[in-house]
Amino acid sequence: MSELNPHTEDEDLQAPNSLVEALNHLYKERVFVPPAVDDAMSREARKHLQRLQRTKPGWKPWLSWAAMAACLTLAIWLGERLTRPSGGKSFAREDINRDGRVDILDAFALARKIETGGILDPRWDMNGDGRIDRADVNAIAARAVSLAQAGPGPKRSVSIPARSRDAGEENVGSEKGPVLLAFRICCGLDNGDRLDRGDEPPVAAPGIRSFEAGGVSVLANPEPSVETERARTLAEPAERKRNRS
Amino acid sequence: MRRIGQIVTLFAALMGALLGQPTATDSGVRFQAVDIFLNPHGKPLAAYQLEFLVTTGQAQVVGVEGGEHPAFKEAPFYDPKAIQQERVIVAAFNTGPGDRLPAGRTRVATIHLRVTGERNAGHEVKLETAATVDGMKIPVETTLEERKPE
Repeated sequence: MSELNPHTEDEDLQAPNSLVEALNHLYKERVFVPPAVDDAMSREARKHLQRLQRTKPGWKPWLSWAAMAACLTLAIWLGERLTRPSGGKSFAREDINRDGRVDILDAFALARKIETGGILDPRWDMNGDGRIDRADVNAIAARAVSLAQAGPGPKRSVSIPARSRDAGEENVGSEKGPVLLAFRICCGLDNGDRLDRGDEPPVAAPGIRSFEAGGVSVLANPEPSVETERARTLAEPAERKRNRS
Repeated sequence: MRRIGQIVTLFAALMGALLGQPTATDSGVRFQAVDIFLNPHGKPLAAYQLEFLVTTGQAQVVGVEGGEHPAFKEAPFYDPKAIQQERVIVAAFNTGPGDRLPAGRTRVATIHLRVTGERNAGHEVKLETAATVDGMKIPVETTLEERKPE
C-alpha cells in the first residue's frame, strides 16, 4: 500500500476547492422531522430507558442470592446424606437385614450371626440385658408376627357378630323361645347359663386341652412335643417361671 | 283313654321339639384343623412367614401346631393375641445345614380353629416371605388342606 501511494511528511495534501465546498454544503441541508413524530419518539425512548433502569438493578441481586442459598442447602443435604453410613435411609433396630421391614428373616439373620460368631451390633440387644442371644432373636420374631405391627386385617366378606356365640345358643335364647329353655332346665339338659356365655373362653374339644396364658385362653393339642414351647414363652412368661421354680 | 292319648301327643310334641333343638355338641360348634404346606421346589427351606386368614364363616384361631419335618416340628412363632381372632401370622426358621431342611412339599404348621355355625369356614393363606439357608429369599408354593377328622 505504501508502495502504491508514496508520499513524504512534507508533501502538501490539499483537496480541490470544489470538493471541499461540496462536502460543506452536504451537512447544511436540514431534514425536517414533524414535532409530533419527534415527541412520540422521545416518549417511547424515555419509557424504554425507564423500564431498563427499573428492572436491571432489582432482579439481579435477588436471583443471585436465591441461587446461592439453594446451592448451599443442596451441598449441606448431600454432605449429610453421603456421610451417613446407612446411605440416608433409617432402619428399625430390629431390621437386621435392612430390607425395610421387620420379619422372621431378621430373626433368622441374627440367629445365624450369633451361631457363626459374626460381628454383633450392640443395638441388637433387644431386651436390654447386656447380651445378644437367643432371647433377642425371639424378641425380633415376636415383633415380626405381631398383629399390632401388621395392622388391621382385610375386611371380611361376611359380617361377624361382635360376640362369638354359636347358632344353637342364639336359637335357645331367641328363636325357640324361653319355654323350651325352661323345659330343658327342668329336664336337667341345660344349666341355664348359656345365654350369658358370650364372654366365656371357648370349650375345648375332646382330645384338646386348654391352658390359661396371661389372660388369654390357649387351646392346645395334648401332645407336648407338638404344642409350642415358644408360644407359651410368648404368652405366659410368668407362668413358665412359676413352673420352673 | 282320650286323656292318655292327649298326654302321649303332648309328650311326643315336646320330645320332637326337644330333639329338634341343637345341643351343646351338635349346635354347630366344632373344631377344625387346617394344615399349611409349603413347597420350596428343591431349595432348602430355612425360614418362612405367612398370614392365615378366615375369609368366610365364623371361626376363631384356638391353637397353632408345628410341622411334620424335624426342622419345623416346633410350633412356629405367633402372636398370642391372635387366639380367638380370625387371623394369625405364623413364622419359623431353622439355622441348620441345608441337608437337614425340607426341600420339597412339607407341612410347616397346622392352625386349629373353633368353627361355629353350619357353614364351613373359608380361609386363605398369604405367604409373606421365605428364605433358604443363606437368608436369600426364595419363591415358595403355599397350599392349605383341611385335616379330615379321624
